[in-house]
Amino acid sequence: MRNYTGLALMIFTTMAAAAGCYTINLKVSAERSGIETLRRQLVVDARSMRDLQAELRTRARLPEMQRWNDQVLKMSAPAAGQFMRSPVQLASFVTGPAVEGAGPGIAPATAPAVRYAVTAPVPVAPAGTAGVVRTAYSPQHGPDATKAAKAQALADALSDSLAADDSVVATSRGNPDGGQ
Amino acid sequence: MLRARQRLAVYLLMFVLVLPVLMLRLGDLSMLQSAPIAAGAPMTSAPPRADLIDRNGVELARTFDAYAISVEPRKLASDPRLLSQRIAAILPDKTADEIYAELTHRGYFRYIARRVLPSEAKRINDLGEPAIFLRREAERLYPNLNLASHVLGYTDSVGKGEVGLEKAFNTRLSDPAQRGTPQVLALDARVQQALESELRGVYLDQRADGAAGIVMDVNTGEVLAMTSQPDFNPNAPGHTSDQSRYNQATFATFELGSTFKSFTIASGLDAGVIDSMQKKYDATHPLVVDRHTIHDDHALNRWLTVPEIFIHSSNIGTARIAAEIGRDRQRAMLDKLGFFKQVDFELQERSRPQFPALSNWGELATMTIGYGHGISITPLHLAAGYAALVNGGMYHNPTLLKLAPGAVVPGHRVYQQSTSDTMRALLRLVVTSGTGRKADAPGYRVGGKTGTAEKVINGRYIHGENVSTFASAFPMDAPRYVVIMMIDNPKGSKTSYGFKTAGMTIAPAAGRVIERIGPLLGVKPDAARDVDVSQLLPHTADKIEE
Repeated sequence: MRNYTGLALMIFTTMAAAAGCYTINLKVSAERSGIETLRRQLVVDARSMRDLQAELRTRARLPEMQRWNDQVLKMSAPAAGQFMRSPVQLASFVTGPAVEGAGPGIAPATAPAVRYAVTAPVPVAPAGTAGVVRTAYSPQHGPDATKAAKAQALADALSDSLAADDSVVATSRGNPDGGQ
Repeated sequence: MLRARQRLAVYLLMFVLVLPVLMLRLGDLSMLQSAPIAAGAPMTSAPPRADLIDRNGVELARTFDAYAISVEPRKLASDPRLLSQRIAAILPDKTADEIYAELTHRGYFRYIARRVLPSEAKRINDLGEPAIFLRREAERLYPNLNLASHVLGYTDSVGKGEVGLEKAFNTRLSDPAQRGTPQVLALDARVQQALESELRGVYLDQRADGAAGIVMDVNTGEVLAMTSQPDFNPNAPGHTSDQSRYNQATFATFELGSTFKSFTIASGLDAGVIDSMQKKYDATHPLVVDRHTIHDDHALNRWLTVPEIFIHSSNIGTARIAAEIGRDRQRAMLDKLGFFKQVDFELQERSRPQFPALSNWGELATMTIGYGHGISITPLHLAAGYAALVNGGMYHNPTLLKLAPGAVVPGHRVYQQSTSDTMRALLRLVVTSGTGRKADAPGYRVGGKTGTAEKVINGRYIHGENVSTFASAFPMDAPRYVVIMMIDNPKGSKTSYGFKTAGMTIAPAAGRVIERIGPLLGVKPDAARDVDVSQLLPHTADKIEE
């Protein structure tokens, strides 16, 4: 009986070691599989990002920017006089002398008119009625009114065309493959 | 009993042996065999063909998965006539008859449409026809449409480069080891857009046969922009004419006229033929050589100093300088500028210059070539030549590849530094006081030379048809960029007051281009700075009136 006990112990030890190794192997395989899934997901995500970038850059293509500028924005390159040569030149634009005797925290009686390059945001119309493109200036009366109305009409048309514009590339909104 | 013991010993031995075998197998599965599985998975985010990006990382060409609509006609379940009408209502480029022909084709597999919009693909999928398949195919996309189309080129239906950089870099772009890394170009998409926009405006306004433009870094040879008009959409190259696909900046040769006078005068300065700006040449009457008469377009009929010859663009005075330089020195200079061979450049669409054989290169040829007649080069040759003229005298090969900052750029000397310095002042003088005044972008210290030459077709000059060119550089106190703009056969317009000359047609556009690209390239306009032309002004009697 003693002899069989030793044998059984050896068999049990062998089986336990084998099961242990197998368990470790399973765990390694599961981890490896998880990593592989993650890798594949990364690749899929990278491809989706490329698709979205392609769509974004196609929509924001330079010729289109040029068209918008030519027809709506009408911005031009800065002229030589618009560049500051030095901080001293910038400082020279400050108007009005400092008021003598005004202590800290006391506003001078006649504060110089300061023009700000950046102003507080202007309240806009409710989102439902606002177009994608708005004209910057729209007089209601006088000879410029007709011109302004035309500019607004063009802006509205561009807004509509932008909304209706489709992409030439895939989007992440849907998968038209439909499993085919 | 003994046999039983032996059996047990054998079983024991087997168990003892099984354990290492199992462990070896586990090791094999977990370590050795796992590697091929990972390596065998080719899934990668790298595109099938490398992207092309500009020097700032803006994508100019990329590959994406487009939709293709295909059909297996034998498996069609619905009425093909009805189905073709419903598909034609979705695809604007296809007629119902074309689609019907595909649906009823005898073949096993047919394409109905390729490169279809996602929304259209979805609508076709919603038709529910089981014989119609939507496939994803790798397609080349040029997001900016016509922008730099002649430089980028396009690929064929299987993704192999056919023209332009797509062809020149085909091996690099499709190499599996490199396709994950975009190819960085020297182009600047913003500069390219500005150049194309302005050049196209002139091309349309002048109802010209063609136009070409180049912006190049004078110190490195990097081409920041290159365009040819008319252009084409590389996303659909088959829908355009052959003329639109013709790159006139590198593939067409022109007699570029008076823009050559800069090289002749520089050569005279370099060789010591022109030892003083006060030196005068006889332009009192037309010059007759070998029964050929050389005239001045704006004849002053007097002796002219070198600056006057240059700003009044005197053919007679330049011819006399060229004659003094002589054939051999002239040829040596043109050879150093690379005007006898194709430009060493990435694009394969390049032309060889046309010039007289040595046996025909007599005194008359020396004189006429001195002012740009009798030799035809591409606008790219001219750009590289002007870069050498203003950068201190070093010639650098033009390149479409971005160079690393501080990289040593190979080159060879064509002119002495002093010659280059004088030429800068002379070129600036042309813009402040000569034929190039309309290119004077305020604050950018533009220098340049106009050139209006009669067009040559089949070896004959066509009277009334011009090739008008403006070769310029800025800022002339420390030149950084060359801008070459050329227009082929301008007709004259209200904008140019009916003139077809370079000073009235293309020079104003060059000025506008410089105004737009200067700030983008970090060139700050400064009205308080300029090139010192005081040494030259005393030698000019008056200003030219075009």
